[in-house]
Amino acid sequence: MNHLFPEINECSRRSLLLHAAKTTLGLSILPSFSNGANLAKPDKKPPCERVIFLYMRGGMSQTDTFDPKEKNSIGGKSKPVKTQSPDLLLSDQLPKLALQANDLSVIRSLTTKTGAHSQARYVMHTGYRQRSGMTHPQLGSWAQMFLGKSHPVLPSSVLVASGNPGPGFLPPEYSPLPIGNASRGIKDLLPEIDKQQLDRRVKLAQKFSAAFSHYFPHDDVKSYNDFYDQTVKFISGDMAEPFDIQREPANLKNRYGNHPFGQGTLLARRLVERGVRYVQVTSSQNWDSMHSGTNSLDRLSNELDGTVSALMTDLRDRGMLDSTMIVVTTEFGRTPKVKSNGGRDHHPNGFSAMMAGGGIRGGIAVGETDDYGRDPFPEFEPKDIHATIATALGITGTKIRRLPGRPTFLGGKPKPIKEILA
Amino acid sequence: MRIFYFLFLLFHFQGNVHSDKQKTAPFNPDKEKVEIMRVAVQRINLIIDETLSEKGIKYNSRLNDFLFTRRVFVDLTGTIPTYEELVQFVNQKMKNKRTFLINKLLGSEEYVSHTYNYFADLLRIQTKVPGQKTNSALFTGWLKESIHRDKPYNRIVYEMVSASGSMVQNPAAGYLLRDKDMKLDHVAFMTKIFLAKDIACAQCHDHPSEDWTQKEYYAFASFLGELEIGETKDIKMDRLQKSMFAKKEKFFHHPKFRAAVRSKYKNFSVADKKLKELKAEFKQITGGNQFAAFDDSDSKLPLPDDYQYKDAKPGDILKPAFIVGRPLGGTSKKSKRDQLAYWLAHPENGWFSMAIANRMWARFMGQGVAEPLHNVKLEKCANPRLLKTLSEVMVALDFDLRAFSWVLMHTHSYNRLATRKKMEKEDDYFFQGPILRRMTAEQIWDSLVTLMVKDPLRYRQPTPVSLMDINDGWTAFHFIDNLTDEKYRLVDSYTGEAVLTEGRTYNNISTDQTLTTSKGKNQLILARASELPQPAPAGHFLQKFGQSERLFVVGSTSKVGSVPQLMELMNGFTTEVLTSPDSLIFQRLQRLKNPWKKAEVVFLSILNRLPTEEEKNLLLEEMQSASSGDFSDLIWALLNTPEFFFIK
Repeated sequence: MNHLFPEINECSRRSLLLHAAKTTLGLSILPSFSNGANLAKPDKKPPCERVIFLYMRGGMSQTDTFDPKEKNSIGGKSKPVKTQSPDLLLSDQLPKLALQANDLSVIRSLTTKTGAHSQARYVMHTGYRQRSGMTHPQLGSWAQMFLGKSHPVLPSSVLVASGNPGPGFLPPEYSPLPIGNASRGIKDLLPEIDKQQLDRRVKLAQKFSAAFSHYFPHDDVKSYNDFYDQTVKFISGDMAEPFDIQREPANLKNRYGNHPFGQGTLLARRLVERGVRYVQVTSSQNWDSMHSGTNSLDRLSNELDGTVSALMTDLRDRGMLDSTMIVVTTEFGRTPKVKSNGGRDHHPNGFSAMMAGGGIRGGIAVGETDDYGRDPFPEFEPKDIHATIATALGITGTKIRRLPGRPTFLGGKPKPIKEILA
Repeated sequence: MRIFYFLFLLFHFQGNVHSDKQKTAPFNPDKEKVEIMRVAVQRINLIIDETLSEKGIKYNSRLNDFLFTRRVFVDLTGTIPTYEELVQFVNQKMKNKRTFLINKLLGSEEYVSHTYNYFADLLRIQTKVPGQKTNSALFTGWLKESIHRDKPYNRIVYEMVSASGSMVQNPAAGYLLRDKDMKLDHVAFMTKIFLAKDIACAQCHDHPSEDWTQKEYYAFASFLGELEIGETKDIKMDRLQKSMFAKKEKFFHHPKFRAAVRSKYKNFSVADKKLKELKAEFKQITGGNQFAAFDDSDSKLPLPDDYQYKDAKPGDILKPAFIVGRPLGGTSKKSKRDQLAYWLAHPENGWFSMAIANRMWARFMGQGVAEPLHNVKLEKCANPRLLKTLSEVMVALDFDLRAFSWVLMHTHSYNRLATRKKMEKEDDYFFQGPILRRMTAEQIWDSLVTLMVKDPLRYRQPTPVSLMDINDGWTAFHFIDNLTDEKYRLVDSYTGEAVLTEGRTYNNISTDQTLTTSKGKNQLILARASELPQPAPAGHFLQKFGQSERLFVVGSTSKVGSVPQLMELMNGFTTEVLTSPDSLIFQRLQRLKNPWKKAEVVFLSILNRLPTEEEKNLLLEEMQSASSGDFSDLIWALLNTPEFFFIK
């Protein structure tokens, strides 16, 4: 079996716990903490309330997925085929998505400044180019900064089987909660405790807190008492339910795919349904395997096609597709022309992303590359995808700019991709 | 009997000989200063008395001795008092005992450690500055030493802003070197810290809501226009410096140098290899490959290419101009940067004295007279008279922060209980007592360490040896060893021996103290926050409780609760250590028989007060229940009350 997510598997339970400690679970409810005007309620409900960000690690081949080319000489084995939408052709590698093409759109003219995996991944996760001495926040942390917490107890963003730069320079309470193994939920994060002892101690602590809490009916003290309650809930395991995909029906689990990406995506749906705003899931297959040939293509595209189409169907069945955005993207593309050994190289100048659901217009392709997969026009950068998501979430203009003492949201001047917004 | 006594003396004497522990004496200013301090207290009291009676607000109730002790310990030494310290003070029968305690604490080494934490936060100190080869030990050592020696605050700032050279030549340069390649950002930080003015927006465009224009920003930044931070090898060394380096270098050929290297690296062949490396390191450090700040009159700070306003053109070089206040003289022959440092730290620079006075007030009262601390608007200050008086006191005391703290701690306001409710609006507060404050991350951590081990400040980061201090082979070794070793290490300040390096025990510690404690891969270094890497690594207790990541000045520290934080307290390794028989608090209990006495000691050690009648009943219940055996449940419970980390 493909050894999945080495970076997570190598982590001990304890170090996961350390990561978890940085997360937003039970963030502040203090009014003084909210950043004033930033958190003002939007006038009207934004078109998108939550985001599932599916990340194809290693550089997804656009030619074999969302930007297929007619010319056999460059296209490799995949061919463009008609879909449900008359305005959108997809690769024949994605038959299930083709059936739902009216609800999804594609951006074909993405570019990124670097062809190195880790730097390009950083750009896609933060919108910024990596520079020394500073880490930028991931999208979910920004959203929490501007929109506040999405749920009183649950974290506002969750990462499944993937690393991204976390809260960057934002305070630790903006951290996403990392989950290594979707099937185990947060079981790995829960401390080993002697439940009886904990109960006894908590009761005792509550008794001795009474006098102080009574004398100081102060907001800060109240919030600490609330955190105590939440923490007790958390460490005694009562919080495990939202993270427990074993409670989902077996046939649904199968439809998502019996691999970590499928199970992670199912977990993502379960979490957004319960109030998490932003969940990122990383593919279990590594698209970098395409260097050595396109033999792995079926494996890669089946995982993508099966899981994403299952997610779209599931969300639609639950009436959540209109308010939940799905994003499928990657660090850079793959050369449209196959190498002599049948493989494809890194291709930062002209690659694709798919967007669907909340706030997104369906059935179209935005931007294009020429017949040889070059000359992307109009050029969009990762930060523009971020700006598009932000706009759909209701984070706009003034909010983006007004962050005292901090660099602006997203590098440089991002432009939302208006064509794709509903 | 006599022989024992003799042995004791000998032992004691030796202990002192090897100790590089700095001598501590209570704070003892001269008479004239004491007079100013007394008058200052009266003036501040008068203003607050009047304001409160005008508003019809009463002072909060007075602090009893228990709470007073807790508060001054936390504020001055960064930790709650030990059981012994608390009991000693409460039982003391003497006039002016509060003053006596304040003086004692102001003179303590813990005061230096705690005050250092405050400035480390403000100056965004990082042990290892990204992209720089050497660590900032020389700078932090200089800062601690400056605090220890009572260097006036404005002098500290002057030395930092005007510093030239590498940290080896001038440790104060560490302040500027921290912000290599970010000169414009540095200027924005500088005004927030030293002038209580936030002009950051004007870096890129005219400030939309305030008066600053981008041109003004650049004009102010032009004081640093000639500042360059480059590699030392690019800088022309004068003859004097060259000869000094040559003189110091000869100590690297001294037999003692070889002996020192060999004693560290027991293996001879390793030691000989290391010897060569260290000599080469010295050449590198003095010759180049390390950064230095210097002024180059050819360097300019032109307006940016995208400058969009009509009052100047992109590329224009502006004449330096102050962003607030007025010029205050000084010789124009000196460098522009020196002019800036001179003006900044000048006693007549009202913005400068106000900024630090207001910050100090906020440290001890929970809120500044004017808020926010980094961007004060006088017209919006609810109590301008108080703000003005505090600034005047700061100047009258020659920026002596010990004396200033002394004044604040003698005011009526400080000696009152914290206000019970949260204010709706910050502006409407008139200091009937301090605001209820949560301790800072550093204060909570240092308090826990105080409960775990005896005299935690015994273990410190080695005092860096400066270039000037090299006068034999040993010091030469320590100089180079400290500076090039990027690993984290600690020395025992009683014996001068290295005890820990990079989380691993270096020599056996032959005391009853637990310096580090570990379980599996976890290890806690039970040293105070000021002696740990800055900032503490991800996942560390300090980080969870809101220590600044040292990237920004504003909004970087957090005193807000979170689940992970409480998880750490409930189930973390720190709590496990505290409730284990190795901890100091447990050892104290073991000497006692009476369970009531034990419970009392736990209360006095953690909450620093006696149990109330109601709590005594709870204790009785607890002691009768079968589960209570070793008091670890009670220790756990008291640590997990909000009362533990609030200063009431």
